[in-house]
Amino acid sequence: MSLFSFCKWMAEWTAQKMLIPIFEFQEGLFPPFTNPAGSIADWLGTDGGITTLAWLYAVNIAFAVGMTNLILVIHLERKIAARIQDRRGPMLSFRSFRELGEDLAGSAPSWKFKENYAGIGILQNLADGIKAIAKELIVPAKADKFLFTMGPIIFISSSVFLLVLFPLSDRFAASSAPAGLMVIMAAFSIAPIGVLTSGWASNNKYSMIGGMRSAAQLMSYEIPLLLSMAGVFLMAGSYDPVVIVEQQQASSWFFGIPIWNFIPQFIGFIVFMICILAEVERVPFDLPEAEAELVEGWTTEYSGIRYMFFLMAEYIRGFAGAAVATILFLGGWAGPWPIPPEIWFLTKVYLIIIFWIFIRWSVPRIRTDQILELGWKKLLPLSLINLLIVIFMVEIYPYFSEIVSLPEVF
Amino acid sequence: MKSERDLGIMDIIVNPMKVTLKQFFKSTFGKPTTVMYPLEKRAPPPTYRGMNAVIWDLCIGCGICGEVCPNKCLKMKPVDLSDEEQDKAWYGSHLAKRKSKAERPAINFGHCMFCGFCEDYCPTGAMTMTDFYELADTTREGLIYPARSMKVDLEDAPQLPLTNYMMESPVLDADPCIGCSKCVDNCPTNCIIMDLGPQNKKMKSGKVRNVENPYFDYTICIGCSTCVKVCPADCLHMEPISNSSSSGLSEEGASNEA
Repeated sequence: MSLFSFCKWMAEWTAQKMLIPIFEFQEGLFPPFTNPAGSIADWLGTDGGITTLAWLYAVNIAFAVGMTNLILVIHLERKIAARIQDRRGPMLSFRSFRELGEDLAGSAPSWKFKENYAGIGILQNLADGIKAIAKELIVPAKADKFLFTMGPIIFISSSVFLLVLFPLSDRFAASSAPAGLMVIMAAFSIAPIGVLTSGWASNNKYSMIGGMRSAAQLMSYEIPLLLSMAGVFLMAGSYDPVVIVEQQQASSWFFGIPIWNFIPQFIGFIVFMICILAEVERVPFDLPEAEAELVEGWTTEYSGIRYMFFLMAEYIRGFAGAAVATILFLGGWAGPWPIPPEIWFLTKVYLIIIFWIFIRWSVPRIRTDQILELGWKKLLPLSLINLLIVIFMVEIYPYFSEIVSLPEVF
Repeated sequence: MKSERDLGIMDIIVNPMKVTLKQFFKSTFGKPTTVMYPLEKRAPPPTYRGMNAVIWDLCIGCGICGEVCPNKCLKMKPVDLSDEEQDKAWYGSHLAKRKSKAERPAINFGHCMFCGFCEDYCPTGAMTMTDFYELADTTREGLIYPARSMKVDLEDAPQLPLTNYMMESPVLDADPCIGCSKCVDNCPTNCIIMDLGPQNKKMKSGKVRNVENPYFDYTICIGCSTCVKVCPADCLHMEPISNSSSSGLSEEGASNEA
């Protein structure tokens, strides 16, 4: 049972049992206000109404799953960073609600630090979110108010859009577009607009430099990124994530062990990982928000929930980037049977994210000239070489092997 | 020397990753350096200077601590000693004879810089600095600690021999001395006695009398200069120890030598 058919069943149930009776009752109460062209209750009975409702459910479920993963990713990042720096990291956990309950009940809080505050720290993200919502939204006096407000909206909406685009498995997918990965990359490439907009509208030299750097970086790294992805598309013959994962699962060289794409296309894998790291602006490619040079880059002038949106969007993009890398090169949700495919997928994604976190605390930031040199002079030729190898494997070698009866290798 | 261009893949990513991974496993499976502060506290070093405490049984109220305090945050405050405290006080028996009350130090910790001079100069070892450092308060007034709040009782206070850390001692200029014996009453260590001096003074009535002058026992003098402060006739002054003679009486040209 796929996610969408589950949602459709749920939508039918809610429409029949809850929504249609409610709207009919309302029509009975206020007959003059009913729509003459047809009531909502009638529309919910049709196939179109049910499908719309099912879409609503599917998108919301995907959004909830993505947001849960976002909280886990941020928590993981903070905890591992703390371990690398010999700290303890966030420790506010669900047990601290005990204290709140005692306080609300009227009794004096029994300050049990060891039991109540030495937790795993998942609640810290919630606390930070509440703090960010409660803060004042400051707009600089000389800023372009409209663009200043639009920047975060473009950035967060294009990032949240990513959450519903990639499937967790062949059954758990909110959208199953045939050009799925192309849509994901299109959504990825909306972000530079938001970045440039907010960098320009802040009317601040640091924001301006950060926005320009971000735009230059994102645009120059998208070319090798897409070229390294082209090899995978050639091998699978499709943009559909489900087809790509099935192709990886089916291809085997020896002893029936599936060979995922990162072995035949090792160059492409390396290029893709570097490019996606630059695309989601993580260390060592976090030039747009280099704290040492530009105060906070293009997010300098933002405060409160807008700043939190930028922070959230960056982690969502990181999660989505890791998911794309998993689908393209690490076999997606393919894995041995007893563990469900969704868990396999998330395990691979989290492994990539943990690797990124270790990279973040290991290596220094690179310079602007170095980042462009790396992008244009090294990654672009490497991705082209990878593409040539794939073309040889997929097109040329099979063609000649038919003529001169070469052994079947690929 | 390696230039920037010679850095290989090992230097750029593998070696840094090794360091971070090592630290990660060390602090994940070992104990993090951060202590959970309200629950566990790190022991301060032996020479740590925290909040002051005064062993009242040893304190003789000489006021040296207030004199050496660089921030002038330590003041001697008169306190009412109970009978028990009066009995236990070292050199305390004479305090009842005093006309003024006994004095003990009170500290404004908002000004204190914890230099430890009061502890260093205390002649009896009554002023100590503890390990206690949680002095934060919600008001400024809360940081002013009255004398009694710093009282500490020890089972048996070590009564060390008195030492003159000030390296000064009072010298009598016998001429203007009127023999009032105020210095004897106020000396915290009882090192002064009134003795018949070499000085003959002419009274108003015309008689010439040999008046009593103070005689200092420099072996127990602590150089607190209380006698100098209370002297009504300005006949006492402090001099560094090397310049003062062993007798309490002034000599001709003693100050000129200095």
